[in-house]
Amino acid sequence: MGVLKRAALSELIDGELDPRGIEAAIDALLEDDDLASEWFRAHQLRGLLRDDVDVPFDVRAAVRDEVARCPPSVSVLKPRVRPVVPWPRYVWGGALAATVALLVVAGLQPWKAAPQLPAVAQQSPPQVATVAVSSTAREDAGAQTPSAASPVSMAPSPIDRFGEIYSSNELFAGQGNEALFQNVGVDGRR
Amino acid sequence: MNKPTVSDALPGDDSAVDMALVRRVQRGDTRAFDLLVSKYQLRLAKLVGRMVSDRAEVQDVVQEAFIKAYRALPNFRGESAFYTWLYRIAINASKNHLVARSRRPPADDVDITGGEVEEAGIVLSDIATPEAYLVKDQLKAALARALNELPEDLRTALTLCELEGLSYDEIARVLDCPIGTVRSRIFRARRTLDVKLKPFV
Repeated sequence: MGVLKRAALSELIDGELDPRGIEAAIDALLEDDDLASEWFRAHQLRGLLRDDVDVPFDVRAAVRDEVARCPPSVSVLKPRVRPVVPWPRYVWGGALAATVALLVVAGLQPWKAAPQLPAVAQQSPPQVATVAVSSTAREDAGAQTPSAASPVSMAPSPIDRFGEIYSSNELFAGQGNEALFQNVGVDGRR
Repeated sequence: MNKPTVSDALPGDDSAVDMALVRRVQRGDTRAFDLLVSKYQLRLAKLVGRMVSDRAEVQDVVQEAFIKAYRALPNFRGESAFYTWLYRIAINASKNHLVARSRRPPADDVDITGGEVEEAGIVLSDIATPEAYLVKDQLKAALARALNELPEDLRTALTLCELEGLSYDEIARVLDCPIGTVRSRIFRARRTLDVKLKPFV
């Protein structure tokens, strides 16, 4: 082991080296076990001189074993990067949201189409679906006939088609279901 | 039991060395951590010994503090000195140890002979064997002898550096000599002590 290395080690112990000297001395320390032992003894002597402890005190072996057994988790060593969500997930999320919104809107349609239900239940022709019902008298809701109502143009929109789908459903096909809609007027009127 | 003081957290002016070693550990070199343990274990033992009386427990707590420090080291950014950071970890480990010990069954908590804590640091407790006492006595005697045998100029330079904590520049001004002479004297003094005390350490 060279005198120069030992001299550098002495200065490293005292913090008297410049940054480049520090790196070079540490390189030498890590490559040379004898030099590392000298580093250890120098600090033991420093501790004895400063009266840190009365007897040699060394936990290096225990710490070394534990460190070898449980290295720091890889996650903390890696820089924290926000995970990138793949674009299909965005598309899927958007599609799902749109579908839910559409179903909610469509779900309201049977309420609008309530007066048409009796006609559907009676297997009446398609024109029934284009007839609006007067909702001025609640009591008359069950007695109203298509002829009594003023014809209103109701060109089927996509949403209305959902209404037709719902109105052809069993749930709305029964005769007794009119009562469910008796409080509901057409075109938002009661 | 003495309360730890802030001065214990001051590592001197070698924090650049610590940071260089810390960076090595952060890059995955565990040998660099071994060097940090070598450097600070006695100072931590002294610190922990002020709160934990039993020497075996001091060893456990110091070991635990280093392991915790190692695991947390990837997140250490150097905003404080390494030793200040390590100091906090050791204080917390000591407190946790004391809390955990108080929860143990009384039989485990009774210390018949008792560990002794001195102001200057920890001393041998009841677990110390006669051999340990012998080593301690031999080491102390060898250290005193080696120091006395050093030439006056070497002993003075080493004393100012190790005990007074002066920098080479300050020692050069105190001794009115070139800084290169200070470097040389300290190196030779340290080398002489190392050769003489190697069998005991």
